Amino acid sequence: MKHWQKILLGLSLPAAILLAWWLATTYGDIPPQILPKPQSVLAVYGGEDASVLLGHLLISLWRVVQGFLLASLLGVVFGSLTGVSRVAKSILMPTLTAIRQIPMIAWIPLLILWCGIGEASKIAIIVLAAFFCVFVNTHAGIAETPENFLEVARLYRLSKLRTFFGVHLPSALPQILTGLQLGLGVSWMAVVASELISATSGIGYHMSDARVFMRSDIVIACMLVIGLVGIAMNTALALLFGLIAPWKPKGAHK
Amino acid sequence: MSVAIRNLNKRFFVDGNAIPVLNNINLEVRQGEFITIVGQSGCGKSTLLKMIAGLESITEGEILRNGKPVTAPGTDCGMVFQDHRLLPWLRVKRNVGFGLRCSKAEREHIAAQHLQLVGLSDFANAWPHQLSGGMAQRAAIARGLATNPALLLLDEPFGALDALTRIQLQREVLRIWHASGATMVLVTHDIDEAIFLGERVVVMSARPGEISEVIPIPPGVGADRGSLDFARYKDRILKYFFADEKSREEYNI
Ligand SMILES: Nc1ncnc2c1ncn2[C@@H]1O[C@H](COP(=O)(O)OP(=O)(O)OP(=O)(O)O)[C@@H](O)[C@H]1O
Ligand SMILES: [Mg+2]
Repeated sequence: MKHWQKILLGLSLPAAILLAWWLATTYGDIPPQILPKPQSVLAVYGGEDASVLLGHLLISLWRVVQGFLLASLLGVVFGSLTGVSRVAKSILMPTLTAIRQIPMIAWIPLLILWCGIGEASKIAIIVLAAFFCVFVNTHAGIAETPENFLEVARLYRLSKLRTFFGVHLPSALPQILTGLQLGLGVSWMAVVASELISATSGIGYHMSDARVFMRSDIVIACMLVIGLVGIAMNTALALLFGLIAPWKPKGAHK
Repeated sequence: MSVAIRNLNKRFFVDGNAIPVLNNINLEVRQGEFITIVGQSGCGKSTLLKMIAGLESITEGEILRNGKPVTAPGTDCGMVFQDHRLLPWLRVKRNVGFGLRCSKAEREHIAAQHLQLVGLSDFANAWPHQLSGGMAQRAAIARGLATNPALLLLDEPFGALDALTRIQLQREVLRIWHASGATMVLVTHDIDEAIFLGERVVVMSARPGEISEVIPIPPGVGADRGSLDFARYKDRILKYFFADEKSREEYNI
């Protein structure tokens, strides 16, 4: 199949949905509070509504940046520790595995009690959600460093530290990057979810605020933005990783 | 560097069962000697080399390098692995310089020198996955030589090479051996190669690996692959692998 054919086929379903939506809202009898016309959703991206949305979006993105960076740091450090050290693994793994079973959403009530509904609780929820993606993948990548490569490091008497940075880490890098990619996606979902539940700013808050005023056009406009931002973040990270790990044959970062 | 292997046994433990791999190995390798080892697949040749390198534990017996028991790898003992083991995340030149402890400029210089030696100068900046199997093996040989070890262990280093490159590199290794005075232990499944390179050929029997015979190759015999003497030594080694005359003749064809 040619490239443009693939793209065309991929776009056919959204186009069909859009058409059905337009037909239903133009010729059907659906109240605009339930389903607005596509044009009114589009209108949200212009004028006053747009700058409000953008403001909330930037607040949410800033939370993601902070939470994700913190989660990445913790995930890579702890994953590396458990990956190279059996003692660290025995100490940390059982507890972390148990904590991982608790759904991210279930942390929100406790975090609100502890940190209020301000920035701290939002960032905490992102860290909790993204940490495990990064941690689990880092751990697996480091722990599965091929024995063959470690043998080369031993042959040339590399120190533990140099073996870690020269062999373990680069060998695990593709999987760590996968973990980071997953983690960023989860961070984005987590921040929106927590803002929906309790917040005074952010895109999730903007949506639940719009719902109260029956502005389904804004709600849908926000949903589309959330989806697009998610795709954009994922793509940006994949491109970045192509630069970080150039030794991978082409197409390995998809 | 001299190597002494005394009453060496090696067993692997798989699911609690001891699997004997090497049995009662005794071998003295003189300083500066070139030893080749031939034996069937799975008889423990790679294991033996790794034990000499200090990468594999010893079950019973001892291995001495320059009179000192081997406990861990040493900087003066290099090894070229059977699979090339280039690190995929380092460019070829960095792989070749991987074992060197010196300034960056010096490392690059030595790496470039050894890349030229194996005919890979044009690929200094390539990634390992961009090399063919034979080229990767040549880069691995360059890495093994780069540290200029007093003892170099080569595990079927020419296995992935075409006949012409193989002969060219065999000559190169001989030249380096003469020039450096290093001790060489080379494992191969190519009997011609064993006779061509080795001052002594160690013939090993199948599992558990034992030394069947150590055959000294008189000077001059190895150099001429077409000579009658060469054929006689070849036949003598082949006897260990094919009992009947007919199969030996077939191998020779
Ligand atoms: N880590 C290990 N654990 C268990 N068994 C092993 C291990 N390494 C090697 N063996 C076994 O030891 C035996 C000898 O292996 P080795 O790699 O030394 O053979 P080899 O003579 O080098 O063979 P080849 O010519 O095919 O390379 C084999 O039967 C192999 O299955
Ligand atoms: Mg082998």
